[in-house]
Amino acid sequence: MQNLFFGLLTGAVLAVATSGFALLRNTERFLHTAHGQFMALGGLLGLTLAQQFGPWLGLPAAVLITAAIGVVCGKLLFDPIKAQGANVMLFTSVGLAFLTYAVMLVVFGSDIKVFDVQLGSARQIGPFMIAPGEIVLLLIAAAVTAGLWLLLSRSSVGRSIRAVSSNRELAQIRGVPTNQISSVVWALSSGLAAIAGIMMGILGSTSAEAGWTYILLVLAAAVLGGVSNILGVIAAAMLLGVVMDLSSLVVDTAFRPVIAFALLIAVLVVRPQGLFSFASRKEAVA
Amino acid sequence: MISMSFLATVATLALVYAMATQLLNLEAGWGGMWDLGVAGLIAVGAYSYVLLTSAPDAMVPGLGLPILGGMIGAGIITALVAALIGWPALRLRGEYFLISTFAFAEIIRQLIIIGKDVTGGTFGITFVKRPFEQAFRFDAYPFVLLGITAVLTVVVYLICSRVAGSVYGMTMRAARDNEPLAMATGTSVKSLRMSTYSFVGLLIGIFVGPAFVWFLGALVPSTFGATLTFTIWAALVIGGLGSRIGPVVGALLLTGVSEAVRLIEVAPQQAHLLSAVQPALVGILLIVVLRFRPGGLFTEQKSFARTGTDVKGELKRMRPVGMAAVNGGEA
Amino acid sequence: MSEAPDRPMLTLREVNKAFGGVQAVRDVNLSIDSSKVTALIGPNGAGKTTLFNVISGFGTPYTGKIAFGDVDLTGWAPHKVARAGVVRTFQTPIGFPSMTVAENIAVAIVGQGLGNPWSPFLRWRQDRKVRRDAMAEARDRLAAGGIEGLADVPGSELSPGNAKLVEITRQLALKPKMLLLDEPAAAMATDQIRTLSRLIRGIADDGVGVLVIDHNLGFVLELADTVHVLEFGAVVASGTPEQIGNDARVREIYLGGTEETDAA
Repeated sequence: MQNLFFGLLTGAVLAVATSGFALLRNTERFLHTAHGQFMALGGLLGLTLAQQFGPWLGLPAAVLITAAIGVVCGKLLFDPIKAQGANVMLFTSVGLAFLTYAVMLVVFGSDIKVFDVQLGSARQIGPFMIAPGEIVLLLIAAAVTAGLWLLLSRSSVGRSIRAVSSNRELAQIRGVPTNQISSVVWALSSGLAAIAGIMMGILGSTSAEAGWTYILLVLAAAVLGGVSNILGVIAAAMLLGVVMDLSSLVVDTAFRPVIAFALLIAVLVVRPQGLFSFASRKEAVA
Repeated sequence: MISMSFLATVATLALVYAMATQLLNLEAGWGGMWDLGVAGLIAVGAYSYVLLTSAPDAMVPGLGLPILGGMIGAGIITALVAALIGWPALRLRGEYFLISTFAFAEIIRQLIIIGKDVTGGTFGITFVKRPFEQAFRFDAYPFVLLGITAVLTVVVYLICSRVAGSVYGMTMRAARDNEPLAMATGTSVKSLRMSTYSFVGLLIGIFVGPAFVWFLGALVPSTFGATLTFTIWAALVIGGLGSRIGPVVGALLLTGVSEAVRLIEVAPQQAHLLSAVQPALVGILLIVVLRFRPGGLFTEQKSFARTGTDVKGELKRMRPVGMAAVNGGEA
Repeated sequence: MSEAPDRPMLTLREVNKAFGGVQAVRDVNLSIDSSKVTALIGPNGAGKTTLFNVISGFGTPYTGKIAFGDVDLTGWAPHKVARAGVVRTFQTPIGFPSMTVAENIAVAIVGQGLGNPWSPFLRWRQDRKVRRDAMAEARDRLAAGGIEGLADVPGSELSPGNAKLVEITRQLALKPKMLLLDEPAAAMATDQIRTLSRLIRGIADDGVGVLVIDHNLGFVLELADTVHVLEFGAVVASGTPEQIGNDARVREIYLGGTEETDAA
């Protein structure tokens, strides 16, 4: 039972990260492999700035800085090569991942760092033993996800984003400022990555190395959820989180990632387009 | 002063990468299978080789096979693992195939850690025996190893060249270019891809795994993570996806530049900066090459036909497995 | 291939296919004779390409049977259908873009025996010979079609008209017994269409059964021996070109559409 709660928590954090990834994939149309590094960057920045200026100033600052970095990368690195197609963009993102990793190594060093945020002592709430800090994190993750959803479905920016997602050329003809929307999406995606990275850091630890693990989980959740369906990837992330943590009841915690990936592959074999995708089976099957 | 011994070691690593990059080119460049799980197959090859050749009374015991037997055995095991992975993964298209191979590589790595009684877990296996090590002086050995690795690299190059000029190579490229059309001309693309994937597994197990083990001298699971896969891909993209010499040049260039950095003398406090230079260089090289020469340094066209035309932008045009769709809409 | 007797070679019986909630093909019964040209016409969305896909293995019919002679092809994978002698072309002749035209044709000629990783090594000489012979035959076929100048052009650089010709040449190199042509006259100039008609008639005279889909009514009515009209997935009329050309209902189906009734 305890694991269920923690699974929900991990899943929620992963959902925040993966929705940012899916958002970028939908509008810019490529798999942003460096997303994991942005998460780690957010975590490390958050930790350092929180130590200097306190959490209330430092953490939001870290999110904003990472969002800004994302916008700059989008403009400088990815917009010029958009015409080259998804493959070129994917590998440029791989290059960016290496570069970001290197920068993090230089600036923050390679050791594993722990946030000295106190989550509070665990208290019995119903069948769970939960620390108040954990509830706060869960609420924040839920709020961020809900906020994203509202933004996408209710606001005019969200409408524009959805227009660009479904058909960029058409949106351009209709007068949607696609370049500005791209920047907005880069900011959102990178900001979400930073938030998720900070939360991962608070729950466990953060390091320059962590980015390579994060991207694996994000990719798994994204594919499981059907890549382009934001609600789907959120649900898939929750599912992965729960499955991973519940599985540690039955098997050693070392097996957790194996379980997650085995689940992913099992689902893909049966339903190649992911669990919640709208794409037909034909599009996913070779 | 650069020691020749150091140069020999760098060259050996570069050649190991060159073999891996060529084999990745075979499945990805010519076969159209964008495999993000090469590190997993290399891990299987490396660990199989060590476990087959390690003495039964070593710290991590093995079967004590001779070197050649170990290489062939590793090849067979890796081919089988590739077939096992390929069976579900090759049913998937594009991004889904990409990610499932990524997932499989990570599963393999985790399984190696979990099976610590057999594989030595995270501490790995140390004191790996190298071919002819006893027969030579300690300071002469790096050159011997370089020679052996060079021979293996030439063999891999010849194998890949032969494939390029064969009916199989032609059929593979057709399946890559236009899968429905290839099927409509009688090719079973599914079995073609399965056999290609297993074939690449076989060659990785025979050549790359053992050569990498000899270079490293010790095995730890962390070597075989996503960074290894991406580095090999970087070498391939930079050198030119689809060409024959491109992968070799890309690997030599990337390794050479990364390792050259080690020669820079720095104060001890700044030593940790050096470890960041290699990924930084890989990243910058990738970004720059893709920006200004997305086809890589060498193109495929020059490898196959003697045409005057130069088809640029191979990377741009190539799609991962199975993206060409039959137009069922215009009914 | 000797002249087949007047019995149907490719038969479709009660074929149904639906996808995306649309009944694309509805209880279709058809026979395509060898040595004859059969045409399938109908407005956009009538189900013609879906029928092609179902016959050639790119889709399984919900119900129904597809037989070639006495061999049941229903549900066969595309490569098996092609190997059985039922060959199709594609509407948009992308071909194999990174390969030269000669290589494009050669791919069809080499057959399947050497398409595996072991053959380049275990059957070295045979592999080399087959490849050399295939390239030579490819050039011969291109010459026979008058387009030998295209031999070394990469597939991606062909004009649409030439791409069409290469597509047909390539699929012919498979030595089909039944040829399915998907919009062969689209994007072709008048004189090219005339050459095309002669080519197709020649193929049929050699004993191959031909099934053609096209929107160019003039081309179809002039070339075909039998015409079937498809509307909303069902066959609504069948007959000779004269009968179909004069059928009031057919004219009604095409009125208001963007069909050309003259060649080009």
